Amino acid sequence: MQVKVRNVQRVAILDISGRVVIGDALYVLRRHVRDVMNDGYKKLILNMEGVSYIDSAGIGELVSSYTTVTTQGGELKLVKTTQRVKDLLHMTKLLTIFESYHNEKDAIASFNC
Amino acid sequence: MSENYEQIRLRFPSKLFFVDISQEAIQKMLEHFMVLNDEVFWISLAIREGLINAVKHGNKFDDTKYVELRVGLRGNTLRIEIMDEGKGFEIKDIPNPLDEENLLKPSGRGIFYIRSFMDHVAFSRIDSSGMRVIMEKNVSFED
Repeated sequence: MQVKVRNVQRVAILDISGRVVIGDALYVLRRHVRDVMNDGYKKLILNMEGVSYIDSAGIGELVSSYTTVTTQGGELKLVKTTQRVKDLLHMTKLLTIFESYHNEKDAIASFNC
Repeated sequence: MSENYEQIRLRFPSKLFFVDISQEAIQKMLEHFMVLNDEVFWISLAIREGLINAVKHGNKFDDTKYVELRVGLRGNTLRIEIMDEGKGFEIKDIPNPLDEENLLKPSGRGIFYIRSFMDHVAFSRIDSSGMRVIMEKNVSFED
C-alpha cells in the first residue's frame, strides 16, 4: 500500500493505492494520518480510488483513522470508494459513520457546510 | 458441470505471507472452475479472513505451528475447512461488531464477514490440538 498526501484548500487528501490488508502496510496509513494531524490539518479525505483490495483489518484501519481524527477535533471523509469497499462498510454499519463522496470537489465542499 | 470431487490441500507455517499465497491459489482454482466472478471475490475474502484468524488468533503468529486449508468442490457445493494448532476459543465470546459499543472498534469483523458470505459456517475444537472451521457455499458458474 502507498499513501501520497496533497493539500487542497487546507484539506489534507490522502491518495491511497494498493492492498489495504493486515500487516505492515496498515502502519503506513496510520503514520500518514498521524503526521497530517501533527501538521495541523483538521480536515482529511481518504481517496480510495487506487485501493485494489481490502480485508477486515483494512476496514479496521479506516475505523482507527476515523477515531484518531475525530477524537482530536478533526473530520475525516471518504471519496471514490469502490462498490465492494462500500459493501463491506455497509454490512458492518460503518456507512452510517463514514461520510462518503463520489468526487473530491463535493467532499471538499462538504467541510464548509 | 462435472460431479467429480476436486480438492486442494495446503499446509503452511503461521505467516501472513502464506495467507496471501493460499488465497491466490484458491482464487485461481475457483476461476478455473468458472465460479461466478463476484462470488470468487467474496468466497476468497471469507477464506482469507478464516486463514488470518487461524494464524493470528489460533496460532498467535507462532510459525512452528501450522495452518491447514482444504477446499473441495462437488457439483456446486464448495466446502472449505481451515484448521489451526492453537488453544481454540469460544465462538459465543466473540463480540457482535454490529452492537453500538463495538462499531468503532478496530478489529472483530472477520468472523462476521465469513458468516455473511458463506451459506453455512461451523466452528469446532480438534480434541486438544486446535480449532476447525468448516464453511460451505452453493456456488453459481459463469455461462
